[in-house]
Amino acid sequence: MAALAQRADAALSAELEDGALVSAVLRGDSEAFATLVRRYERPVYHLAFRTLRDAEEARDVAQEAFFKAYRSLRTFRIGAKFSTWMYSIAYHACCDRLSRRKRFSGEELPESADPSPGPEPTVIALDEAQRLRDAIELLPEKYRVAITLYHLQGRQYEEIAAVLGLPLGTVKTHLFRAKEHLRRLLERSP
Amino acid sequence: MKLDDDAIDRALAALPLEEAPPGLHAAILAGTVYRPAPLFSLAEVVTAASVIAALVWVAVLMAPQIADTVAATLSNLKLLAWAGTGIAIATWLELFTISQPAYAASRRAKGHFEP
Repeated sequence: MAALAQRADAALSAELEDGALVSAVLRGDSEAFATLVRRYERPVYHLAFRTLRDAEEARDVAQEAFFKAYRSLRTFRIGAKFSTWMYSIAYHACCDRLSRRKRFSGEELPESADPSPGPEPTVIALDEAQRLRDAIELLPEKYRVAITLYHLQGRQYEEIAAVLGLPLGTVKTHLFRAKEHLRRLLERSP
Repeated sequence: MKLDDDAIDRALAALPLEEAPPGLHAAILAGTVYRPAPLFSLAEVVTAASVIAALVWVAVLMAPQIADTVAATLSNLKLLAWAGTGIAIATWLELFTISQPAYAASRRAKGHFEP
């Protein structure tokens, strides 16, 4: 709990710097954008990887998201949270990929994902982190995205709701169910 | 193994993020801040395209009239005769008048210098 709160505080102080960096980029400072990329490439890639479950596609989506962010930086409202804006762009890029996948292979979209845990979980206990990663992999799409953002952002439901474009209550329900699923999966695993 | 909510929160908080693939940072920067500027700005491209489109439009509108004018001119023998006479006189004047610039130039080229 304390770790999550600490992470949230750190993120809060980072946001102030993010705003200044965005202003600097708009003034033509390319190094400022390089700093933003350094700061967010890993979480954006993580979000894409968790959502798409494909390293190559996640890389493409992360790249696309930053290209789009750079092109539309003028539309970013100074004072808003850059991380929310960035994750939102990345999440929408993931949704585009998923809908393209669906068109070609009939795979389900996050909104219409089956709430059941999917195939019978076979979580392999390599170590604690790997076990947890495997369990997250087995979550349905919408819960996986919610728990990934929760993991990225700390306990900030409002941000997750803003990124996913869902009501706060739905986000809370998704997170509650995601954790229930996770608990069941982790308890079942050896 | 029994897990409570806090245990899951702690596990999630301790879970390290996936490493971004090598080269991602460079690829992003190459496609954004270090991307070479285009030769023409969007405004220039739009302006040039608009001008060309307008010229093509005018040409298409006028093409039948121009073709008619050219055809009428070429079929008028009197006009052609006058034009031919005019061109012949102009050529004669150009080659054989006192100044004779073409003749003088050709002589100069051959090494004949006039006083």
